[in-house]
Amino acid sequence: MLTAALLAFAGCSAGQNQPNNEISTIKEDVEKLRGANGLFRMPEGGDQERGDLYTTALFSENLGSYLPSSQVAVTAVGTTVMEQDTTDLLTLWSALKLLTASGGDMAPEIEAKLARVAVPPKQTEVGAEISALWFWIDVSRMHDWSRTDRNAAAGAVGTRLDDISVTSISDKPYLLWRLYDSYSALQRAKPADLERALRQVDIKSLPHDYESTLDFQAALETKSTLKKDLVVPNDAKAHIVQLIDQGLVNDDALIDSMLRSLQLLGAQEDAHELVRNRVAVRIDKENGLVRAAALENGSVHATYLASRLLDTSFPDIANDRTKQELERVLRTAETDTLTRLKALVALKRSGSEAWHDYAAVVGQAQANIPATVTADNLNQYVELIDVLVQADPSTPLSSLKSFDAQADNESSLSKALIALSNSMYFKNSAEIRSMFPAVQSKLPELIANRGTGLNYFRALTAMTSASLSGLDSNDFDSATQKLQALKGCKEFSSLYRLQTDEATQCSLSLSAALIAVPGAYDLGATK
Amino acid sequence: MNMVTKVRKGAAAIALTSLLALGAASGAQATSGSGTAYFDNGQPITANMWIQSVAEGGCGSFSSSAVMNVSPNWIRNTTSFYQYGVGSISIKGVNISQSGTSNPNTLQWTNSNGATGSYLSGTVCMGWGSFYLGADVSATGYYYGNLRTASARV
Repeated sequence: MLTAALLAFAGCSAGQNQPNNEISTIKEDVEKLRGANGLFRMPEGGDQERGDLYTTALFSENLGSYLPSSQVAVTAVGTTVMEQDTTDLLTLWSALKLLTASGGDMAPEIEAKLARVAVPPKQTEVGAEISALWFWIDVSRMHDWSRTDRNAAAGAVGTRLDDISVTSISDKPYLLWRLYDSYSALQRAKPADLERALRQVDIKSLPHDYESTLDFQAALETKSTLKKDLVVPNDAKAHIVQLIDQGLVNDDALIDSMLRSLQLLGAQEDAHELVRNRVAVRIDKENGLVRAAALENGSVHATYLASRLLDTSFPDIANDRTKQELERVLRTAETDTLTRLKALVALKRSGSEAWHDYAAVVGQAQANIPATVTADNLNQYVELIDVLVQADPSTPLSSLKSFDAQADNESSLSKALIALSNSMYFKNSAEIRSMFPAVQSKLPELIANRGTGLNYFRALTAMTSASLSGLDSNDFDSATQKLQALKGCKEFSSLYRLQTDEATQCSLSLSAALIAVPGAYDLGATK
Repeated sequence: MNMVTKVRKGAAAIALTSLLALGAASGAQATSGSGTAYFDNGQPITANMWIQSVAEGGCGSFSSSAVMNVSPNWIRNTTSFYQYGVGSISIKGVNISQSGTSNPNTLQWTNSNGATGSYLSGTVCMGWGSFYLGADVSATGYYYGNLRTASARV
């Protein structure tokens, strides 16, 4: 008989309404990878995301209160210059620039290195020649080298400046300005036609690309230094602020140039605010230096991988900024086909209908698929078809010509595993599943022992397409069980690592590839 | 096997004695359910569950499947039993060698190499103090680079 007590137990061992799945954790993890431009970043770039000396030096005159302290500067310079035994001009220039700006003491070893840094070899392209010389000359300006023999080279450098034809750069305000500045720093007599050319500089356009940005700054520098008249467009300040504020510029040299232009336009407050919001936020807490702008942005590739991992749940995290940026990439003519395809797939997965507008790239890519694939073009075919099929599932597939593969040869082993893992992308998929008997017989061993290379992971994605391997569901389960030891890392619990050490980075590309392994991810019922 | 029928809420209101009478008759009522998800090219993956209505404290046959019309890289059937009440669920006479998971109430089997489906069947018994036994089935397939899952519950 039913009693109230029994009813009270109802639901104790009842199933959940929705089985537990990882979707919300993956979304949280991917959200942490959102870049400044709306696209997502790769977590495996971790090591490169340190702040660096050059970027900090570029901004040193504009950082204001955010400039690293002299102590931080001295430590950073010591690490980069001494521990890594650097001798290149740009890094040494950066070290000196930062020490000068922050008031840090220069260690004798660093002074010695700077004194010895060679004058760059003569450059054939005039812009490169002016740039190379300028950095060497700027070093002269920042320190008293009279106790060294550095100044002996100054004469030769001066002659190289004289060799530069002003006529050849008369329509390039930025180069004219740099050349002029170089002469000033060397306290060397300037050619008459240089100053004449500079006086004729005017603003041809507001910053809209690399050259126009630098030319704009040069025009303002000239106005200030030569005390000449200059017509400045009324909306210049607003235009520049908007460019930087919207994070549309990835290049720190350009951002710094624009900040300098704002200073010259009298917009100190605007410049300071931009530094706070766009540059200081990039200061690496570990070493006190500024991270390069390019690092803060996400990439199409990472966004594409995120869309493969999250699939029908990708619209939940792809916001308007993401879609906008993907469309911008699709509209940029110089973008290569594969990147365009990835952007297209990500846009499609984001739920935006706009992807149809860019679908022409699919036909272009399909036209380039080889009819037959061999060991030689296997990797390229697989890389392309894997993306293409996401954009258009009716893409015609090619056939794979069989090749010899031995398990003890790393390279042929990996090709065989790649072929097996991607057998579904070939017309002769059933045939492929019985290819490479030597490799297939080694599969049970490969999936049981976590080797150090990628072939362990390739074996996992191949095991379900290996009809000669004798592997069945129980083997898949125990292989996936072992794989769990590589799941998660400090910041991301749902992504996989390449190495056993828990302190290593997670990899988004590995994680997206592992959806092919049964049980690696539990994404729950598809929406 | 694509039956779509209403889920019957169990035998909660039936007295024990009448249940015994029902159990004796052959062709006992069964519950079934199914669910479908789709891949990008429109290919469906379907989860099907069929379970004989089980008497309180009793046993019944079950059969579940994960199926597609074309062959994916792999197709997995995960079937979990649940009950309202107390006691332990027990599963026997299953068509696979191991349960496939560490959860005693869950069976799992993944087929590949050209297979278009994964099937589980056997007998399931509810706990001594239980009055409804149900099942969740999820069908997951990896096909053309995408993972999709259909589910059904009875």
